[in-house]
Amino acid sequence: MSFHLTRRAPLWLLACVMCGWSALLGAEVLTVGVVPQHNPTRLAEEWGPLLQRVAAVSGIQLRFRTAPDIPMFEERLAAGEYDLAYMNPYHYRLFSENPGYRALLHARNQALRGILVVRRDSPIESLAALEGAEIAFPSPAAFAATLLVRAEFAAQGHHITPRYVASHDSVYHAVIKGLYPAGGGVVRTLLSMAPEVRDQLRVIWTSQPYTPHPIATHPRLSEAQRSRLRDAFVALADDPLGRSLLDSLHIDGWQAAEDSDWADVRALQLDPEEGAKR
Amino acid sequence: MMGLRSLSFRAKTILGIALIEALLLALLISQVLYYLHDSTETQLQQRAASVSSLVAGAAKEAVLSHDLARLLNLVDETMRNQDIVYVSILDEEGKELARRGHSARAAGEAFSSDFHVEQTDDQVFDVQVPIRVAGIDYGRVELGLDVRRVQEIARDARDLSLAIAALEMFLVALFSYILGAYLTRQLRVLEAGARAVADGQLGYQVAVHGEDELGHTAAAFNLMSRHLEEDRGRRDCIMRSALDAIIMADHTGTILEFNPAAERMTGLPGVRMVGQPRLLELVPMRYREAFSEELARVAKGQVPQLAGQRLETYLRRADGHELPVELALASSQVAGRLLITGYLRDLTEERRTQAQLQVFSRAVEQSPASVVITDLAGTIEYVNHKFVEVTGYRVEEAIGRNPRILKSGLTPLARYREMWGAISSGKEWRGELVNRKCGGELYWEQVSISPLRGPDGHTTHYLAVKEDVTEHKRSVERLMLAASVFTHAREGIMITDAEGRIIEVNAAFSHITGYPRAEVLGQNPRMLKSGRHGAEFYHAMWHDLHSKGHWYGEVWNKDREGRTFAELLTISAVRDDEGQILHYVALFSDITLQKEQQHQLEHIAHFDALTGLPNRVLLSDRLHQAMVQARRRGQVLAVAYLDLDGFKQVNDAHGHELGDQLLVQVARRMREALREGDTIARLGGDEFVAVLIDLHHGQESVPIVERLLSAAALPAHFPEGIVQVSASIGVTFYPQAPEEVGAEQLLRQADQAMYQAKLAGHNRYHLFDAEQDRHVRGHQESLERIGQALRDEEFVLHYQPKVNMRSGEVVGVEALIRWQHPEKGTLAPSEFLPVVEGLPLGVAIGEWVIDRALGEMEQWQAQGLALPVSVNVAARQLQQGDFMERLHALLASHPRVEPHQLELEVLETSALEDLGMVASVIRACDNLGVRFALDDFGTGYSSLTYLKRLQAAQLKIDQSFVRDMLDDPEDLAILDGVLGLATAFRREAVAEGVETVEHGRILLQLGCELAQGFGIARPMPAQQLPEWVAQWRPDPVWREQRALSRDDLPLLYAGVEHRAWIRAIEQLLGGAHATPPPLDHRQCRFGHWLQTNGRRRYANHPAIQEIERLHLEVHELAHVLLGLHRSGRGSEARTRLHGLFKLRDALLDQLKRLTV
Repeated sequence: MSFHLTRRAPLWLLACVMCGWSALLGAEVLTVGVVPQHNPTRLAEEWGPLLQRVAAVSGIQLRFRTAPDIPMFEERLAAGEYDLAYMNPYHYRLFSENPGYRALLHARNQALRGILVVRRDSPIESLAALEGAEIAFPSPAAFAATLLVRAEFAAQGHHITPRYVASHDSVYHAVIKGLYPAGGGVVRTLLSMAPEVRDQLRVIWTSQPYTPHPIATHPRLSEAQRSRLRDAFVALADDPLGRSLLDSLHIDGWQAAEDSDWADVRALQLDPEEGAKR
Repeated sequence: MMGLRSLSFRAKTILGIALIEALLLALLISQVLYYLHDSTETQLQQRAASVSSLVAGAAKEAVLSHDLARLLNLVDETMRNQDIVYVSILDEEGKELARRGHSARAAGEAFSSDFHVEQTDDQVFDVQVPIRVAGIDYGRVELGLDVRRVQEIARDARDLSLAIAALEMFLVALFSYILGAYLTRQLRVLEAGARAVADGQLGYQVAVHGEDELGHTAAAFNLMSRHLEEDRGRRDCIMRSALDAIIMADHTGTILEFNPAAERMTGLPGVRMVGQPRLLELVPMRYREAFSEELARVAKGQVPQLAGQRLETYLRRADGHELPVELALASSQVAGRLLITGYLRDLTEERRTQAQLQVFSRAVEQSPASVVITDLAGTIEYVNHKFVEVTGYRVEEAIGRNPRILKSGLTPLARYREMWGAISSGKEWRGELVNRKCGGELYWEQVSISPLRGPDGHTTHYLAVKEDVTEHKRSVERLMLAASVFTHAREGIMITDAEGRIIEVNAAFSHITGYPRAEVLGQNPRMLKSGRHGAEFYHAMWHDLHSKGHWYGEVWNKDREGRTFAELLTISAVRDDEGQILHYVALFSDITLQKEQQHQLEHIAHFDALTGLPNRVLLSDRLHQAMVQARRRGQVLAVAYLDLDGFKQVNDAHGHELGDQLLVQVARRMREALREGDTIARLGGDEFVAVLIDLHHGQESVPIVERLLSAAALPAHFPEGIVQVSASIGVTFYPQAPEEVGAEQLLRQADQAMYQAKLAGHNRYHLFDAEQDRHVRGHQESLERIGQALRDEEFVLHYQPKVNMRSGEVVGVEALIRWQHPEKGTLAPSEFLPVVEGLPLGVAIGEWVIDRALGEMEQWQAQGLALPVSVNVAARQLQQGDFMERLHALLASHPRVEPHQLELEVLETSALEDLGMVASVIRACDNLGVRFALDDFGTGYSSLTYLKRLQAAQLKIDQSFVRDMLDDPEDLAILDGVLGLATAFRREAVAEGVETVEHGRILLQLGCELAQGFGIARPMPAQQLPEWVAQWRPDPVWREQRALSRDDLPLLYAGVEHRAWIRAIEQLLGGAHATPPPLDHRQCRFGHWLQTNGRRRYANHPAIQEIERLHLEVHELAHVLLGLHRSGRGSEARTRLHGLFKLRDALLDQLKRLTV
């Protein structure tokens, strides 16, 4: 069999060369960095088809990218490696200053709320009961899951030791396995967990709602590109295929966003290095 | 050819085998070499596929996250496999992310297919596989496999198989040479033996041994010689041992052979017979002539062949007796002489058996069960008479056919399969078949089919014995139906034997009592006794059961956990045909919930929550009782209406809480000021009523009234200081000759007098002047004028429809009287009916209403509209002695109206005034077919006992509850309770006052489908009704609304709580001095529900998150609005109220989604 295929090799080469040409001739290729809230495969499953759909509508090729962990993601954001990036509001606050990412969209009808979860059978009912405990968080700069939750601990005057376990999934699993008595997360990622995982957890505290994660663009993108992308993202909610893709992301749809939408986040005094304070 | 034929056997064998072997080996080796080549290639591809897929899988996450360190690590790991020449991982653009080893192929050169394998040179096998997630490629893995080792293994295998083939050729040649030599030597010995026998040496034995074919041939040869020797001896043995007599004679009758059996049968010794012509002696005298002639004919050859003939005849014994025998004759020519041999079998025993068989046969033929015998193929060989009788097939119609002529097609095929399975494996099968008679009629048979076995144990026939069980079956089916009802009934069912031992219970029994079935079987039902009923209760129950055969009532029992529960129980005795009690069947439903609701309801309904004094409802009841008692004893009672002076000022100055405390203190002092037996009730606000009984004349009440005045005027001490109020009291008396007054009228009179006391300056009492009152009342419509209106036909009836909100059916209309006054326009009944209350004119108007309603019903019927009409009747009208006769006459004068189309509505409160009388009228009307409804239900003293005695078919729920239930949780609770009562007593409930679609929706959720109200239709003139009925359709929301399960009811309450909360906010913003509702979203009652029951029950429902969000927003907005209000920007707050309403409606919409 293999010997037959070999004979066709020149044909493939021709096809590949032609693809390359068409890329050179017209199609723009942009990279989209997605904050590593979940393991990369799951992110690719949720985002890959969605980006493909957006690409088909906007005519702009989009390449899905993520990072091994949040610090690496932050490094790459700082280096401006991504043309578009889906990042948490805290990142946005940082990287909108330098290299100057600009918000394009955020999830429709959704607010970001930090939550604190314990195991369902845990006797813990309040933050006070966690005084001095080790608490699981995804990463130091995760906005809702880490910063908001730590801010609340600080506001209530309780000292805790944060432990960073890289992703939201890991936080939930670590709490279920009893590695930590409690963990910080957000409502949306908790809801996107499998029901059998979710059922083992109990939310004991929920933060105020904040403007959710933006999709922001690097300043090198033209206004025309931004507007084509914005329209294509927003239009997802209107076609059935787009809807099903949004559903797997647990997002109702995208809506156009402005930088000022994150004023609420900027108003917060948050610093991942020092722990958190209001 | 000649050369080949002359070859020895040995040489032919060797040559043949060698040729075949060489041919086959050549084929085999060529095939092996082909497969070796092929599998080498397959192996390589599989290895390539598995390694590359593994690497691609492992690399996926690292590629997605561009984790180059991890990729390098992975590539290194892969290279540890010795057959991997190179590995390379590329991104989607073909950029190399990690690589180890060197490839002959150009780097980055992509293939177009997903998985690709190719061999670029002799040593390396190249593989490529994409890294793909959700159908999108994010890169690929390329790797090269070393081919050389696999090829080496293939070469070795080829060499080895050639060597094995050569060895095999050699061994086969050797074996065929040895075989040929052996065969030819043995054949020569056999040849010599055969020549010896041919020479006459009988018994010659050849010396060839062994277990092969030659050995067997030699053994057979030796056996043959011995058999020839034994032949003679055997013939003698047969003759001696035969059970049949064997007699051989020639045609002259000379006996040649006469065996021992013949000696026994004839009683003659053989030695005297053989050689003698005595054959004829054995033939009975009467056959001898014929026998001789036959013998002669045989001798002449006229009868060609005797063999095979059998006949039954008789043998003459030596002693002259005759034996029945079966005779078989055979003739043969032996050495030119005709010999006749007779075989005789004694039939004496057989004849006896036959006679017995005939009896059996008759028994089968006349058996009461159908009998069918078939052969193994199922063909009918026999059917008996019963079969004919049952099926209608004649014998000749059945024989030769298959029993499937009876098949109806209704017996499950599995049953036939099971039957054949059983009987073809020799077992008996029993079962039931539904068959069809010749005439087509169906019948059920209980069938037993068993194989009939011959003496050798093999089945020869099948025997079916069948009984027609159609009758039995039908009764069983009835039982099965009953059993199904039994199993699925929602009521608990318990069956006991005549001694009271439980023999069966259903699932509902276990559900209600908590006892599993196994635990109660054999027990006595007294195990359920709660101890709440005395021995007399059970005594009465048993008495009813024995005398009437059944008992019906409510019983408190206790369940397995020891909890008491109320059940509505019916026990029936089941008797056999002789009237002996076989079983008791008890049917019950759990009404604990209704009981508890009733209890709560009664408490809410009868006592004022603040002061603990009786409320208006209980007051009304006490007052009625007191009036009945006063009339009976010829005593006087006083009604004192009391209103506090200056209470409002206290409230305004010190706040509601202190005001409430003051009311509590004043109420306690006033109660202490009264005598035992007197009642003081709080009507609401600062109004109280005292009922003073056991008075001989009105003056006796004065000291008590004065005590009330001073009790009210005592200063009350509070931490905030001392507060003092006073009271104004109006007093009236009962009875009041010459007029009869009702309770409501007494209260009105006392109220009027109280007002007089207020006018005269506070802190005093005023006695009601009945004379003056009558004078004042004259200014109302005069009796005269009302009588005139009746004569001049100025009254008309309007009709308000009652409908089933779900089905859209119009179930009836309520007739309502109107006065079309020539000057004042249309007057409502409240303007003129009170004037005639209790007077003959009132009764006359009541009758006019019934008569007119019946007349208009007749007109509707003529137009094809048959609607039940309900008419309001006053208790006073029912109390007329001839009410039933008048009703009869009215119905008789409208013969086209069926009595059951007329319904009478009596006010619940007035029905309770004379319970016994009203109950008996209701019963009498029930016999006539006229139904009753209790109007304004819920406002009176609706105790279970009263409700039980009033057999009203319908309860009309008072509109005040319905109207307010949307935002008053207490009214919703009362409504729910009243509906529970209606269900418990199996009364129809009709909700009055349905004003909006939402009212109807909530009622349907509570399970109430019948309703009346402006939201459905206003009262209309008779002629408009047919058109309205034709065009009315229920709101689509109602059509789809289903009753909520009890588990979902908290949801309904939550919605109402939320409305109540919003209303409270609205009132605060409107300037009311109310306590603000809890503003924290976790503290309000809806929030409380949401955090507990709501989140638990609807955790996975998509709407719950939205509800939490909306709820939070509602509270945030309310916060903002109240803030505006407090900072003096109340009007701005009020204009923004609609935002709050919008959020409320959105939240309620989401709540509705939870029940879908």
